Amino acid sequence: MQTITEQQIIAMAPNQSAVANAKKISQKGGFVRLECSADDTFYMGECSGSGKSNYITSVDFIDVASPVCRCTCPSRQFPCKHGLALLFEINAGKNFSVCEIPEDIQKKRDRKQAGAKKAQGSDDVSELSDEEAAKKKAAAEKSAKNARIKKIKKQMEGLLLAEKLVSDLMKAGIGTMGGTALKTYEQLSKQLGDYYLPGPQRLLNGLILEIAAFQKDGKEEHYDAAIDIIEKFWTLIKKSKVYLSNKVENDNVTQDDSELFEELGGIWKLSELESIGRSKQNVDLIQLSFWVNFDAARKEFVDMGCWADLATGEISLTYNYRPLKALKYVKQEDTTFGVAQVPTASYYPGQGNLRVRWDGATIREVTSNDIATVRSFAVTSLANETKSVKNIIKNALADPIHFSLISYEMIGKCGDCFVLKNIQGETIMLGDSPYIEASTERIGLLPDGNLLKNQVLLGAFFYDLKDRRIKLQPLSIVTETDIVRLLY
Amino acid sequence: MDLTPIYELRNRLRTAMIAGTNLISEDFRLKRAAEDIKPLETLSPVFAKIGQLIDNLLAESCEERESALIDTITLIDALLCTQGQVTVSGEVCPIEATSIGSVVTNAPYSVVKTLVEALTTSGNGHYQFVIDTHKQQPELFKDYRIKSAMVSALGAGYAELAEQIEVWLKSEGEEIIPLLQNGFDPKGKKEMVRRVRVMEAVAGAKCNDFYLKMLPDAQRDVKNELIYALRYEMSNVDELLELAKKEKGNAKECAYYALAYIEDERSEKFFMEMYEKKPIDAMIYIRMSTTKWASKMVGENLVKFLKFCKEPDYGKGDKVFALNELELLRMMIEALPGKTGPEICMAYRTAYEVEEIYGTPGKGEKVHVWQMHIVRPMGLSLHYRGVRLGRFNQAIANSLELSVRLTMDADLCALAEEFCKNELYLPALYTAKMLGKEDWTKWLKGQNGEYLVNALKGLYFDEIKHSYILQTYVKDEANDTINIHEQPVMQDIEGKLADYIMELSSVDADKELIKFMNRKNPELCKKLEAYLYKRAMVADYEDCVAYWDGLKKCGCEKCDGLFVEFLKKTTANGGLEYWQVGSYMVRLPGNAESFEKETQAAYEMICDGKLKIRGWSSSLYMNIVNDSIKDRMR
Repeated sequence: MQTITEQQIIAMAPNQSAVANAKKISQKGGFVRLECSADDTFYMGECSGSGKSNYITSVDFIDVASPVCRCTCPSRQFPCKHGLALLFEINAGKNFSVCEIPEDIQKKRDRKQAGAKKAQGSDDVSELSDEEAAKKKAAAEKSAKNARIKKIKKQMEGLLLAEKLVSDLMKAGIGTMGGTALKTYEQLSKQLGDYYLPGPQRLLNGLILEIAAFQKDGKEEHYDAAIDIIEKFWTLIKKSKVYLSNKVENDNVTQDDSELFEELGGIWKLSELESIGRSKQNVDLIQLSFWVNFDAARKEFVDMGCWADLATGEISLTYNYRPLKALKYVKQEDTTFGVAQVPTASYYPGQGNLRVRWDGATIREVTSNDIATVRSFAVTSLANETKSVKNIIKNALADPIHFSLISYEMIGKCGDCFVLKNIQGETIMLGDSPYIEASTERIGLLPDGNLLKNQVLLGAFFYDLKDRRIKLQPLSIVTETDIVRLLY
Repeated sequence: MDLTPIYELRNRLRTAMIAGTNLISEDFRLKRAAEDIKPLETLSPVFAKIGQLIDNLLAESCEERESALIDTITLIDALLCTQGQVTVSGEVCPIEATSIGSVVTNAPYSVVKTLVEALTTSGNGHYQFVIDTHKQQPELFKDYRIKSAMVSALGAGYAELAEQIEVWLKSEGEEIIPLLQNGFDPKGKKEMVRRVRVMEAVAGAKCNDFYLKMLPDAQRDVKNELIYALRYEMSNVDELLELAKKEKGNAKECAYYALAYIEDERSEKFFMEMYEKKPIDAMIYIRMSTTKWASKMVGENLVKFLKFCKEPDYGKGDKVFALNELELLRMMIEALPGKTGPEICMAYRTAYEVEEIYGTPGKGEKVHVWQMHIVRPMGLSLHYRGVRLGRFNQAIANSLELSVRLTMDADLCALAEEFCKNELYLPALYTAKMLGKEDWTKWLKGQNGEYLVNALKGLYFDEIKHSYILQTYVKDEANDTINIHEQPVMQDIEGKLADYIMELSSVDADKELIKFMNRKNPELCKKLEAYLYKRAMVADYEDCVAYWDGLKKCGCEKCDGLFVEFLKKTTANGGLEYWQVGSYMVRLPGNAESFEKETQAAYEMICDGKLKIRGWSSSLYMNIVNDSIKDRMR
């Protein structure tokens, strides 16, 4: 019998109500027949629903880390409530009679396997002779290389356009960007998309949004944000020009671990990250905080998870993008309370807290050892940590925030401000960064005084130009027994 | 190191970016700022680099001024970031934890964020979501993040949500006070009024300093509520007398209402004087007061009044109440609930004697105006079970019962016992016995159960406190709100009272039993299921559904005979319309199997013509049955 925890089922669900409905189906005996294959990789159930005939629901455990639910119901949710309900039946350890694996499922499995092989480039090659295979491979590689060169050249053209755009804008001044000029910039932004430059396109969209917002409310802070974007935009153009021209000149257009690839809008495949050596095996990650941002320039919601590696203490981030246009179809991530046991975790190139991605993980309960491990990674010297953080966040292309675990003696108040003080007497002001939902006020609402003394804080460092300070946004408090989330 | 020149330079570069590089050559402030950083250039290579960049930017020969501008500001920003201050000067003082709520560590984003949003933003379905979540996951509302959102929800645009939150917060402890006081705006609107009301309910006089502090800047409704909140602290009498003198309109009225709560000679004197000039007004303001002097004032004046109609020649000639006197009498009776003391007892006694003299008017007998229409519906002043009181004797009896509910005063309870010969006073006696500490079983056995239902109104089982509570809604005239008054019931409700009600076999009592029963007590449910099933089979068709609801509450899994019997009764009364069938079926208890069997039996009898459904359609009937079966299977 497969084992699946409720936490794992919740993690698979498209939303909370699907979980609730699935539980109801399971508890009220919605399944009239439950069967599983002799090899324990396939589970099936016949569930009564609102349709005339019963739904046939199945869960395929051929890949134990990512079971696949299938159902004959008309729901567009995936997995549907019936699929989740069947998982709850497995979770409850109900009796399943033995059945054969249906033919269509076997076919689907075969197709999936074939697809996986194709992705590895080993499908037809095995049937060919060595020479023919080598020829075919070389031809494919040459064609891919040519396509890449063509794309890079197009990108370089686009960068020239972007450079001219920024230059013209600086000549005229950001102040002239309002009104009808915004429409011209919107058209230019669309053009950048034609040059395979979605990254710079997003920056330009962000700039347009800030100026439009300034025109609405007249707040000077929009100009400050616009200047930040221009700095990043300009740095990206300059660095990318050099990076791309070097690639063409050196005739080396293969993937490398430059962060510019993603900044220009490239999307990494997990296999590509693995191929450039940016993956780790058997990683245990514990989520310390979760929140959702809305990126107006991207027109996407971004589900952000902040995770600590239980072996190294490294803090990394998960980003789940949900475009507004496809909100119905992309599952929203949620808080994870367990430890994700990841067979292969792939890390994006960059500095500071790296983005991490994985495909298929099992979730286990958090133990007191895990919590103790997390606490042991907390830094004790604010001076050292802020020094290294400053060196990261000062770069225009880097993320303007950096997450760290900080050990503290107390969180108190200095005037109206919340201040963290460590055992060495070093202090730092707590405050809300513009990049995450506000959480600092919640420090003042905490119901237990012990949370404010001798604990570990997950915080986000950022530079506040207005106050000319490095501040820390508190996100979660790691006590000896729990993770107390100030956000989610 | 003093970085002011760098900040100034950054500021000028920012302006240049906004104004454009075309104007840089004319920007003398930028040039001055560039000169100001010259002394720093020798201190570090990075300052020297900035110096170079700015010189290049300002040079007339600069060909790529735009690029130079961005490069310079980018480098300065990087420098300022590395130079950003970290240490906070001054002493770090510990924060006192609020003890507001608790930390719920296993509530995910999808739940907490959705609830916080529903509480703090406006949108469709927020109210229902909050209500449903409170019902299904009440523990979530203990989380410190939700508590703060609840306070924000006091200002919700959807008034029903704000009012519900106010009710929930009123049941919190004093620990919620800092949240309510934080960010309080005395010039604010309804949200601030609600905050004050919650403070009054949870802390009363303990927040008196806060009320006084906020009052000078307060406006409109917030001011009125703050004035009214001063009633909790007896030492506010001078302040209130002053406010009563200088304020106008609603604020003045609130000062009067608040003053009426103050147990002090000066407030007594104030209302005595008012009574001399404007007796009706005085009675209006002291209606809700429970002070000794207010009780005395109402009691004595009511006795005086009633003595007038006790005189033998009352009603002869012009010896009758004038219209304004009738109004005053009405106000006095409305002021009775909640008041205690010898004068009040005397007033009840006198009223009882008056009733004995006049009795309940029979057909054709002469009736005085005060007997029939003296009291307006109670709903206007005191929400009490929605009973509309028109007659004098009914009003007095109900006032006594309401007073017993609110005060459990021993003298009033004794009066209820003394007057119980008159059946109108039986509800007061039932209430007194039910709320009393002494086991009422023996006494209850000797009663015929009539009027017991009145005493049971508002009785419910609190699933969080795991106890029975008698709830009474009392309207506060001063701020137009409903206050919930709760008294714990110590009697054996699930055992002896339930048994007694079952012996009574009264439909009204059964309906109350269904309302207050604790559905989480399996023994009680089992006992009631058998009883309610029998009753449902013999009940009138109008009452059947109430019994079905009770059976559902008990978790009854069968419905054999229930629907057929019901249809037999409706057939005798002309039969159901076909469109009514679905709504009745939904309320029928039983699992899918039992339901299918029962509806099939009914179907056959309808087809045989033994049962009648108007506009009958067998396919429609079966559709409804099938849908209902599927619902039950889910």
